[in-house]
Amino acid sequence: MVSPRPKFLLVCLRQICLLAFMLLFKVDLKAQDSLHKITQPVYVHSSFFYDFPQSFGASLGTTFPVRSKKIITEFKGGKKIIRYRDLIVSSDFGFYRYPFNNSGIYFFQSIGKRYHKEMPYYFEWLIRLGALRTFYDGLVYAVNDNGDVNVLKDYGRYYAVTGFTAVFGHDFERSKYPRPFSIAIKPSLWFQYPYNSFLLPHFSVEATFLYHFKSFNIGLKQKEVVQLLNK
Amino acid sequence: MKQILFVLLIPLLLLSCKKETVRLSTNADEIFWLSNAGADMPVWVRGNTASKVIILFLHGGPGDGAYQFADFQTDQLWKHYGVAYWDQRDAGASAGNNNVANLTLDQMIEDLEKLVIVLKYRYGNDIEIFLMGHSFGGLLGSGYLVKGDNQNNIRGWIEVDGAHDYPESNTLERQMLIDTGTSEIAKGHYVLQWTPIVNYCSSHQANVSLDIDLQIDNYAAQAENYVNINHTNTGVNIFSRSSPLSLGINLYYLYYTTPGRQFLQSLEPMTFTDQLHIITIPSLLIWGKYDFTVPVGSGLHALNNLGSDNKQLVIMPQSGHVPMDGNTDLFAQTVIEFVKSVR
Repeated sequence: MVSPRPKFLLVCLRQICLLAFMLLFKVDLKAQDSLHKITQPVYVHSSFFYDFPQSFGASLGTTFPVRSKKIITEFKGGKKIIRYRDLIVSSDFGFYRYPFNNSGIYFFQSIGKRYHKEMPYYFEWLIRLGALRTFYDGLVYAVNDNGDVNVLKDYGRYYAVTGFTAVFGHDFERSKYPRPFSIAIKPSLWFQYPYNSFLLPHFSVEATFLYHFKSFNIGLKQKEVVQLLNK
Repeated sequence: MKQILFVLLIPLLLLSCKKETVRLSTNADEIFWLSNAGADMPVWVRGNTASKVIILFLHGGPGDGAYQFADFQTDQLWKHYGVAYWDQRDAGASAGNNNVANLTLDQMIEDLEKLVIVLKYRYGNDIEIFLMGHSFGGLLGSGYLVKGDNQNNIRGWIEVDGAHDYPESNTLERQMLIDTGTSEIAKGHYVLQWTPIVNYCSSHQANVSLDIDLQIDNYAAQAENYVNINHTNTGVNIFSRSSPLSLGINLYYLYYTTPGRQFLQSLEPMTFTDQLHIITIPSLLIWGKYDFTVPVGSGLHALNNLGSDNKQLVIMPQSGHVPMDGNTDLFAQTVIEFVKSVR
């Protein structure tokens, strides 16, 4: 049996080193949490959609936060930085057309995080899950065992879709002259499954316009974290 | 809310308005699909369908996709005839859900049988269909023609560097690489490039394993760069109608996954040489002189075995495995004259 003593000593030594390192930089961090009820905008958005290599389309949807975190970092000299971390959900319903190939209608439900400060710029990442229905361009024929030809109307396939989206946005509600809308660019990588017993990747970009109707808001609890940084 | 619903319904309305009337045209540019046994396969039709002649192009690979040949390589045919570019199952822009169980040569032959029926349904029973099989398309076309009375539906057979006999092609391919490589090394041509090819082929027998045969195939494709042939080296058009993503994914699935490789493995012993005598329709064999992948010897063997009275082998002097690329004008002229002579 191996004695536990050397492992214990190693842990102690590591903690002492860490403490010494912290003292060297003289950093004190005190944090205080509190909960507030706040109202946040629900955005209605529409997007123009380009999917490599030849698909163009559009989508409509909503985006809103379900949880919010406000992080206030106060420095010794009085300087204060406020950051927001919002958990957001987004729904999209859209279509695309790939001439001479197929058209599709899709629904995406997304969840992700929005990062922003007091400035109008923001960044989001979203994980998306949804469904896609394709419709082939041109007539679709099927031949039965007797050799009879049938034209299949509005024929296509159902697929599950999932992917990842990054959002780079500008919120004009937080700009110097507030306006109730935002604009964003959303590059995405998403997958269509099962495509020929495998999966088909898509690279797409959306140019999105988000509008905040005055009465279209959501109430949620915002966790406020104050960090006192003695530096 | 009503406005939002209306906007959401627009794409559905547009899709439901889609209706196509098929007309014969001197300049057709249209697409239709064949849905069969879990696969939805696009067929892009270009050219003069009003001529009542359709050349049905069977691409190689397997998995190459047909759309990439719908360009300068075959566009000279469009003025005279309609050309139907068919993406076979699990190739090019073909789609479907879980259909791997149907990835077999027999199923592909059935797909082709049904496609011929659809072509006649769509363009009229009086159209004349010529099958043009390139590389693996040669195996597929031969398999179709020797089955039942299928050849009664086809006016002529055009085999372009076709792999109607995989074991024979593999054997000839390896031997041609060794012979040409040795000769070129002796002349001091591309010594660095030829040496590993000759060494590999000398130390590995063909038809032993799929990996070895695929490696020899790779060397055969490379070797075309070391002999004096025309090679445009056009890459895949990334903005083509056949998405490079679906083309790439379908190729990946065939060559790098177990089910795909099982299909490739199943093709290794495939040969229709002993049944070629069944084919009695007019036949044109076109071969690139410097085709290492399916060497001319395979074409000569097919010429001797075909049952047709009207058969010829035309060698393209500056071509490798893709004569429509190496000798574009001569290729088109040869095909046009053959179709004219048969009609």
